[in-house]
Amino acid sequence: MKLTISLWSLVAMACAIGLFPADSSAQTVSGQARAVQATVVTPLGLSTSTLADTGTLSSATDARDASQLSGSVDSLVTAETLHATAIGSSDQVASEASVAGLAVAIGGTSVNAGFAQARATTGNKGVRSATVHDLSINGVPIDASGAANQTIAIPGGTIVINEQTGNVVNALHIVIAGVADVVIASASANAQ
Amino acid sequence: MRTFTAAAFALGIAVALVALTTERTLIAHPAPCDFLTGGGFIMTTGSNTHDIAKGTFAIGGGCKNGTPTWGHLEYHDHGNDLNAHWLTITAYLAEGDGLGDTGVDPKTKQPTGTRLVCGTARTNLYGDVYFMVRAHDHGEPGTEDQFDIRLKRDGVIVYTTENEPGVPHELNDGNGGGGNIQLHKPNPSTDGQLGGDCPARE
Repeated sequence: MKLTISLWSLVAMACAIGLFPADSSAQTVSGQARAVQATVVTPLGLSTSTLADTGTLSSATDARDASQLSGSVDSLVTAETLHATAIGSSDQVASEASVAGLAVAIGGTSVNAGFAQARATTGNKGVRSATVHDLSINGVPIDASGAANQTIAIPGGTIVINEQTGNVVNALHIVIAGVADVVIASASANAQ
Repeated sequence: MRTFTAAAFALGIAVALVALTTERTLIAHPAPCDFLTGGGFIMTTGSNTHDIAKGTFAIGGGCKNGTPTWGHLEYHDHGNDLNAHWLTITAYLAEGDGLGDTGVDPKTKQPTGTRLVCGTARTNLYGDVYFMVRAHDHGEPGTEDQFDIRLKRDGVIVYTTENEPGVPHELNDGNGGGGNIQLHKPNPSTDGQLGGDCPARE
């Protein structure tokens, strides 16, 4: 009878008898990306809709994606080529989301953008960034500076461009108090 | 004597581990799989079939769970109103042999290089087609990243962005293009290899 012992079985046996300590530094990772999330105040309460949402990473071996050719949330949001990905690894999480041809209409305010993207990765060389091209509010062109948390006042609310809070990056976050809360291109990444 | 025996035993264990590790290195595949993701837009004439217009895209490719079938494609040419929505991903390849031009971005330590993502898609102008996307990550900030697409049906290329001035299309930070292509290092689920079938490439 031929006895075959694999490398991994040898390593497992070595761990079992204490030659190698168990890995106590395994990381817990989390991440998610979403092209659109719109929460609207209705007579029955808050109503939230999402488009192209990866859901949350389940582990460091997970890789999730979601996409749509086009999508809309009622008469509030329309967009095309929606995209979201979240990829885990043993020491890093990378998430990104993007939309093109964006049109948002809330409470008399219109927001348009040719393209919006948010990216978040963990690690020493991690990236947290958002880009927005051809942004306009009520038809007036807006210069997206690229700086984090660029805030613009609109009637009844605010628009934050490149919103960065903790491990989350939102390309656009539009809030009109008592009416709606819309997040365009959101990416989060965390590894501990 | 006891000291000598213990030292010899330790040396034997060390030699055995080195031998096993070396063997594993030698049998490793030369082109392990990874992931590519991106979104953005190019300015295209659809290979001189219409005036220059935006082509917006979303792309993903990779080898989750060991097969080169992870990903997606969404594409909209605003010049002729072509829409393409992915049905299947059938291949994830490097351009050229092995890992092709794969390198490392010195700024982020992330991989850079070119990948081909292939599959089938449903279009509003040509019915169901084979597609091939060539996407290149040139590193940060992404202004020199590239995206081009080819659609093929019944052995004939019915649409491509490849045959026009300025190819390959760079994303260019809003000046004739925008967005970002990102090549990601392998993760524990990418134990497969680059490969698959790409009829649109042939």
